Amino acid sequence: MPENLLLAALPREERSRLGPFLEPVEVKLQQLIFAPNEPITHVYFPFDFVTSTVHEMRGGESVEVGLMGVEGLVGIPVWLRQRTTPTRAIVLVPGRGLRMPAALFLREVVHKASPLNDLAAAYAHAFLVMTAQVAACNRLHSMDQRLCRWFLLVYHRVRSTEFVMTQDFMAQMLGVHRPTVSTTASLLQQAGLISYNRGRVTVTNHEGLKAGACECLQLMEAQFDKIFDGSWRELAGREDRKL
Amino acid sequence: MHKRFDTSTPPPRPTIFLVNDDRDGLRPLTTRLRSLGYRVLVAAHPDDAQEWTASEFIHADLALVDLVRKTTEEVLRAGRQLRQHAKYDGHTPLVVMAGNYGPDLEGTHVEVSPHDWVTYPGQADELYQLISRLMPAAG
Repeated sequence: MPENLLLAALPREERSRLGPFLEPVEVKLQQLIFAPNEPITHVYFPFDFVTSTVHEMRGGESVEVGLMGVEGLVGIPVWLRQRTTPTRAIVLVPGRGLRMPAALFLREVVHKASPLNDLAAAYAHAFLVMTAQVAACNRLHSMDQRLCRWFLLVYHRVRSTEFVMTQDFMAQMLGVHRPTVSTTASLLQQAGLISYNRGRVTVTNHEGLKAGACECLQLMEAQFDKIFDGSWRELAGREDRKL
Repeated sequence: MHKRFDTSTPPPRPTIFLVNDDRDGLRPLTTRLRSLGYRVLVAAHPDDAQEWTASEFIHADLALVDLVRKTTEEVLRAGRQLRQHAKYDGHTPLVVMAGNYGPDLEGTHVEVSPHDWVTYPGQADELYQLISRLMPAAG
C-alpha cells in the first residue's frame, strides 16, 4: 500500500508494530486539524492531503508559516511533548492519510525507542527551517516569486497538476490583500505558468514556475530531502505508483 | 478627455492615477497596466495622493484605488475625497478594488453611483476589461 514517507521509511517490524495504532482518515477542504491553544487530539500522516500551519493575529489577519504533506507529519508539538500550540493547522488540499491519537503517539513513539523519533526530529528541524525561510521570503521577495514558490510547494505535495484553491483562501494563507492574489495570478496566467478558474488552479508549466520562484523553494525542499537522503518528490512518486 | 486633475498638456498615453498602499500588490498591478499601454502614476497612500493632486495638476483619465485593511466603503470614501480635494468635475471614472469577497463575486463590477465603480477581481482580466471600457484606447 502507498503511504506517508515517514511511515514508509520505517523498518518493517516497527511499521508493523505501529499499525494497530494508526487509523485511515480522509480530510476535507479547510478542515481544522488543530486550533490555537486547544489540545491536539491526533498526529496525522498525510498521503495526498496538504495542511497549512497558520499564525493568526489579534485583528483576525493570518499568514501561513509552513506546509505539510506526504513528506511529514501534522502534530510536531505533540512530538515536542506539548499539548497545545498558538498556531492553527488547516487542510489546504483534501485527501487521505493515517492518524494516531496523541496519547498513543506519546506512549508508543515518543516514550519508546522508536525509529520514528529520529525521522520526526529530522522532520521537525526541516519544518523549522521552512518557517524561518517563509518569514524571510515574505519580507524580501516579490509577490510573483512568492506565489510561484507557493504553487510549487503545494503542487509537489498534491502530486497533481490540478487542485481546488480559491483566491480568497490563497490570500488568507499568504497573508496578502485579496486583489493582490488576482493581479499576481493573472501575471502568472498570462505567462502560461498556471490557469485559474473560479477556485480551480491548474499548473500548466512546472518548469516555468520553478524559474519564476525565489531561491526559497529549493532551500526548503532540500531540507526535507535530507530526511530521506534523497529527493522526497521521487520517493512520493514511487509510493504513487503502488496505487 | 482628461477631465480629472485638469491639465494644460495632454499626456502621451491614457493615464491611470493609482492609489495603492499594498507593497505586495503594487508591482504586479503596475506591470500589467503598463504592458497594456497605460501610463500609471502611483501614490503610495491616500494622503500622498491628496497632497500631490492639491499641489499640481495631474493628467488622469481614470483613478484606481486599492487600499489594504480597509472596507470597500472606506476605499470608496477615500477615492471620493481625492476627487473633492482635486476639485474634480465629476466625470472621470473612479474604480475601487474590493478587499474581501468570495468566489461568487469574482470577476464582477458594480457601478455604485455614476462614474464610481467597485470591482471584485477574479482572474484580474475583468479589471483590465473594465478599465479599457472606461478609458480612451491605450497604445
